[in-house]
Amino acid sequence: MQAEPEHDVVVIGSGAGGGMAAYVLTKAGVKVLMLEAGRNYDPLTETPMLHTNHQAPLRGAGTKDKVFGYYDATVDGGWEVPGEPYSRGEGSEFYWYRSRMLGGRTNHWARNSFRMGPYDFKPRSRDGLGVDWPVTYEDIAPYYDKTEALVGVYGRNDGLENHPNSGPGVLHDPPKARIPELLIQAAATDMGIPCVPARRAVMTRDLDQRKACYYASACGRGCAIGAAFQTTTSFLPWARATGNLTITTDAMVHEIEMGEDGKAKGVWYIEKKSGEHKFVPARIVILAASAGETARIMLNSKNAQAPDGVGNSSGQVGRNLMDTVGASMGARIPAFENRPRYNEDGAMGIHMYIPFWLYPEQAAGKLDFPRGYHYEMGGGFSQPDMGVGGYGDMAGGYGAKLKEEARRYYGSYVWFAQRGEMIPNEHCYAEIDPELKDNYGIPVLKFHYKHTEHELNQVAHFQKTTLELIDRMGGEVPTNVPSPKDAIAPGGWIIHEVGTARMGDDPGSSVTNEFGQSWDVDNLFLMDGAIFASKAHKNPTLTIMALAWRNTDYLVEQMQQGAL
Amino acid sequence: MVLHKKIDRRTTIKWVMSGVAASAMTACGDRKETKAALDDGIIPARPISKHRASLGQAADISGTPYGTDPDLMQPANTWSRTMTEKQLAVTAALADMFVPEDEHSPSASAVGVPDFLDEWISAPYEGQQRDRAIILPGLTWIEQVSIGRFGKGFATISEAERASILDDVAVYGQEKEELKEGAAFIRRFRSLTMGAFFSTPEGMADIGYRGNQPTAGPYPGPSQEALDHLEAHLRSIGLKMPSLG
Ligand SMILES: Cc1cc2nc3c(=O)[nH]c(=O)nc-3n(C[C@H](O)[C@H](O)[C@H](O)COP(=O)(O)OP(=O)(O)OC[C@H]3O[C@@H](n4cnc5c(N)ncnc54)[C@H](O)[C@@H]3O)c2cc1C
Ligand code: SF4
Repeated sequence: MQAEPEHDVVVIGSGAGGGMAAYVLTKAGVKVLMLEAGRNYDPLTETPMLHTNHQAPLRGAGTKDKVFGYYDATVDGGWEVPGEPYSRGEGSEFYWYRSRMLGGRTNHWARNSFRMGPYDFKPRSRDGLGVDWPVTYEDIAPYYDKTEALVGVYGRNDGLENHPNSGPGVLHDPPKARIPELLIQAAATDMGIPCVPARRAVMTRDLDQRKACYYASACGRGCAIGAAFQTTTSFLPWARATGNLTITTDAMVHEIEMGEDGKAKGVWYIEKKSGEHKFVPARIVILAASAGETARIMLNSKNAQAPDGVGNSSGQVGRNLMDTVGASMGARIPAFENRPRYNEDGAMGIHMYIPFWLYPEQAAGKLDFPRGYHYEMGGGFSQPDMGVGGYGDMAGGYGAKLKEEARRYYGSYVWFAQRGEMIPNEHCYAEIDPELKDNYGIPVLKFHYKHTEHELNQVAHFQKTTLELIDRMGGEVPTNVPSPKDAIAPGGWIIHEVGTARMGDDPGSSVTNEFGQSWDVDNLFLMDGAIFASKAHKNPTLTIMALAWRNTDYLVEQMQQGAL
Repeated sequence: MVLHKKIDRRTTIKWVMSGVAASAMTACGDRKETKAALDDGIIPARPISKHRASLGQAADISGTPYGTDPDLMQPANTWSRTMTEKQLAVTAALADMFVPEDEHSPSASAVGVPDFLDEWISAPYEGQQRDRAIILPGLTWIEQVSIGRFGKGFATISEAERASILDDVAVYGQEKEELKEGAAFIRRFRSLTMGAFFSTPEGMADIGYRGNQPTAGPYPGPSQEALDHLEAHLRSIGLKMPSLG
């Protein structure tokens, strides 16, 4: 028997939240044991940076094994994880994207990193819906600055309403806009809609041992040079270098062990390779297994004092599940046929975006949807894959003329994606399925999900605005636009699930205080998207990291003061 | 997802813009649909001429999916090809009708497209198996049409003779009633051939993909020629060129 290494804190999960917590703790000299359900993963040796689709099975096309394509850096994951099912309530459509690897989903996320603004932290005060956060933008702003500086984010300070600037020198220069982005910008500007450089956790200058982006190779494969942020090229190696971090992979945590004194004593996990159940004691437990899994672990940790799950005296664990409102539209730009070629890979993701711009109208009550959305969009000469077959479907015919058609259509499309704020509602939650268990024998989550008029009207607005944009661009305006009900992405589809153990001021209606500390169990902290009180249209990960940093600073302080 | 319904523009655009997502989408069917595609009469059960075409029986699918954690650095073959020599010969002849050699690039068969299509339809994934249920009977169908018209198999007739068949089934708006049943096969075969060809190094060079080249320093952005082209378009629709800050 190998003795468990010494540690004070156990961190569950190695993604955005867990990675940040481990980094800050180990830098402060705290001994940490990280438990990660997935396998060890090393981007330096496992990232197929410049491999072509041609070298991959099926030209890299997605399959049920690798939904985002062969090269995508998702290990043992996707909408379905082998051996780890989940269920859905009747009439509920919800998809849960997970990956089982060191670094979690940070290895392949799109790196879009927008700050929440002052309004986003106090939504109820603005429109009476949902709840306010127990923190203000001003509380979090220094952590946004620190996080962006540490992670490396490109973007520009445009001083737009509710889109705060970053501190001086924090942002990396954004990459230049490409032709499709310039056309969209021209049309948007003409319509009075801002179109500005996007913010992504991608570096355009060297930083520590990590290199600036070299504008080739899709970021979804992971980034071996470290330009695109993932915890496996940053937080985790840095934390390890302190000598204070031990990582145990293939460790599936399923229960928090509670003591008579109402404190967490440690956690139980299943060593996946041997199937052995193991217990690790801890002074402090940090849950960062992703919003869904964090709630699952809490709900599965039942005892006499906490019959509804540890930390769940409010009954809010699993509740208030939210995802970003998503819809999309595409168009062909006839003037882009046969346009001049050049390298449009760039930093492989969006260079420009459209931030929400209708705050005055919103404040004046002129919109029929309460919360905002932004656009992510683009188009271009991406690496040819089986999708080129679509040009054949468009053109028909055969022979030399068909080849000509492919050249003509290549790069002549643009796409627009809506990313909107959803308001929590009572129909959206996760609970423990009374019967179904996963292959490890752990009860699984059952998801319930329903959109309301708030989200559907927002989609309708996006559709109307996009049709106008396409028209201004000289594009072919789509005629068969689906109804908002059909166009809206099902729950979880945008992979921004948050809110399942929200923070608040009141222990009766929230699960943690403003530092992610459980109201019920003071040595239990939550450091992932579970603690979000609302789901601003801004993508969540930057905020997950900024909050995790702030929460961990507080935790360290409490430890130093002997309070914990 | 129904494969043989006419693909509307929106579907096409979605497909073109996200090959990956679209391919992922095709992976979510089930066997029932495969059977439905066959039962739906895309492919005629009756022979068109009294000589029944035979390209032999493809081997059964064998091997395994590559799994949820394949080696990304050194992809390995995890399933075998299944087409017969005769099926491959028809595949090559038809693929080259869609993508012949021209002054820009070689033909589909010259860059291994037939072998890739064999890989594709032999893959142990639902989406690919659905394509298999369209492609294999489709090859027999076009063989049958060839025999019916010219008394010889598709791989042995002349290019002009092949063209006369494709003129009647592969060109939108000109489909002849008696060949309509092959339209779904033709559409799918064309799509797979185009995707397969343009993702080869030769195809990528032909279509003008210039990416996947590490570049030091800031991203250079559009070329002057590309900017001029955009500016001309903007001028023609009364929009201003954004400042290139
Ligand atoms: C394709 C894609 C694109 C995305 N794009 C963006 C984007 O552009 N911007 C953005 O903000 N967000 C994006 N996201 C979302 C982003 O990835 C997540 O918000 C972020 O990774 C969440 O961090 P996390 O630490 O909560 O969870 P994760 O990163 O999922 O990490 C959780 C870790 O915990 C482990 N774990 C789970 N259960 C257990 C258990 N029981 N025991 C032990 N370990 C466990 C998991 O294996 C995993 O490694 C994207 C996601 C995907 C999939
Ligand atoms: S585009 Fe840049 S940031 Fe993205 S993976 Fe390639 S080098 Fe890394």
